[in-house]
Amino acid sequence: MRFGSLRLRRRILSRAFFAFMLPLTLLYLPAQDLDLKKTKSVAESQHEIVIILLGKKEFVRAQEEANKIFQMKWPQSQEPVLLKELLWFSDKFLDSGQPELAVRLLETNLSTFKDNGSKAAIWKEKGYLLKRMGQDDKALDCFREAQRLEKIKLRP
Amino acid sequence: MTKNNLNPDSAATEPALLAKWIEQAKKGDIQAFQRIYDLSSRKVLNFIYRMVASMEEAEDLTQETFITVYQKLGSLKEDAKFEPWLFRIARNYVYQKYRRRGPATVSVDARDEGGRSATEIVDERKGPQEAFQSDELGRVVREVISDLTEKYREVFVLSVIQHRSYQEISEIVGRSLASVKTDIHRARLQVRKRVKEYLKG
Amino acid sequence: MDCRQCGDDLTAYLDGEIPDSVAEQIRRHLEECRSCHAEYQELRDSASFVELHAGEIEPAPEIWNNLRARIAEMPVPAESFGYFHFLVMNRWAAAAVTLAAMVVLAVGLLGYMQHQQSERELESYMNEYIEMRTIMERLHSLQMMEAHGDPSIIEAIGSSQMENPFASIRPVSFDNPFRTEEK
Repeated sequence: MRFGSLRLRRRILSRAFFAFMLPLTLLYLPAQDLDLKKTKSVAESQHEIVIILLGKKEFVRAQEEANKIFQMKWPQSQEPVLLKELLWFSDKFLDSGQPELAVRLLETNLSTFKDNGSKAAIWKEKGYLLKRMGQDDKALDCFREAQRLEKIKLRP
Repeated sequence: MTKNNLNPDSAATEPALLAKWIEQAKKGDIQAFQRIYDLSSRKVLNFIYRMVASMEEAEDLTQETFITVYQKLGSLKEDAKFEPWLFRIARNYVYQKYRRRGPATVSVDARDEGGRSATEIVDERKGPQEAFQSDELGRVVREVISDLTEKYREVFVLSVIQHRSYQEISEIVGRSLASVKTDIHRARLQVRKRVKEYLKG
Repeated sequence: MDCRQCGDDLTAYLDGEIPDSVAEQIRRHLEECRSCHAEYQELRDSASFVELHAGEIEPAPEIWNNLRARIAEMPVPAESFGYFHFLVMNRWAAAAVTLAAMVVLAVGLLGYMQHQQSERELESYMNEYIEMRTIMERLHSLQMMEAHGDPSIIEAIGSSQMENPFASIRPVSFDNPFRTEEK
């Protein structure tokens, strides 16, 4: 009996402690980290939404929801994560037999990226998709642009 | 003789008039050419002066510019593009002068880096032309501008003093819009710094 | 919009060279951010200062006088066909023009060859990527088949290898003495 109440008391105390201290800790968080946390958690949910829509074959909606992830306010440090995510989504659309939507996804969200390496990667993937769709000329133009961007990146 | 009956900015409001004069001048009508000259010589002279910092040279180059304009008027396809074309010619003369001058005329005072022009020339001629900028602030502005390197100076003058669009400036200096936008911003940052320094005493 | 993006565009914003949608973003940022607003004011004020005190020179009459005198001796501008007449009459000019034409041709040929080469480079650059992607696709569909027996099953997406990349919990830079570890 005594043992049980002690445990209960400890649990209540730790809950109270946590409930009280958590808001205080948030005050100490640097503002940017807090923003990033919020953005990431929104993106997390959004990512799941896109997956569900893809599963339900609602491809146009899935692409629109995916766009929202890239339109959020991200610091440039997150670019590599976002690039991986963009290319991953594009791949999913391709797998689902929707290469046009994949291309549109890449086109719409290119401007989110500032780093020339990221942009080049997106152009290359777009070129690959267009080539798969039989649009050879446009595909070549994409690779030309990617090549140009990579050269700029290498220049000192 | 150049009575300047016309407000120098009237070309902006009367493009049809300018086009008419250009067509007439192409056929050899010297009066029409004089109208064109009256309309644009002031801006050209001031631009060149800002770039070469010598009144004598600015006058010479202005003359050369308009001679070339007269000779090459036949090759101007779009009358609407007269001003950028005119300034490209003026600018070419400015840079020709720089190439010929070379390092021999670098200013004696040691100049640090950070955008200071290596080819800044101190105006040798102390004539009545100096009078227009004899006030202290005019002198400060002249120094601030001539401290910019040519690349920044030209876009600075064209944007701040002549209020040209970035598109037009890009056509005049022959660089991409993006590169012009960056240069203008950097030039203005430097000017801000100098003006701030000066005002703080 | 962060301060860096805003800062780069400040002058263009001042000059009205920013599209409306972005300008609105900048305007809002300037309302919130004191340092950018200060920089904006300084840019604006220093530009006004220069404009106000720059002064303008009036062209001296001699410029036009000299100009006019020289023009009077020149042929009319629209007469560009005079070139041919000049060439026919002058053998040296004709030879020079021919030489110039040959140089231009040679340069043109060189340029063409370089263009061909860069086109070839571009093609191999493209093919490299396509090959890499094709291999990735094959691997991918192999993995899918192994896992589910049918690569076209969309449900496979739900259980794909990649976790949600945004689900990371700990920001790396975070070091808080008050944080409690909940086990």
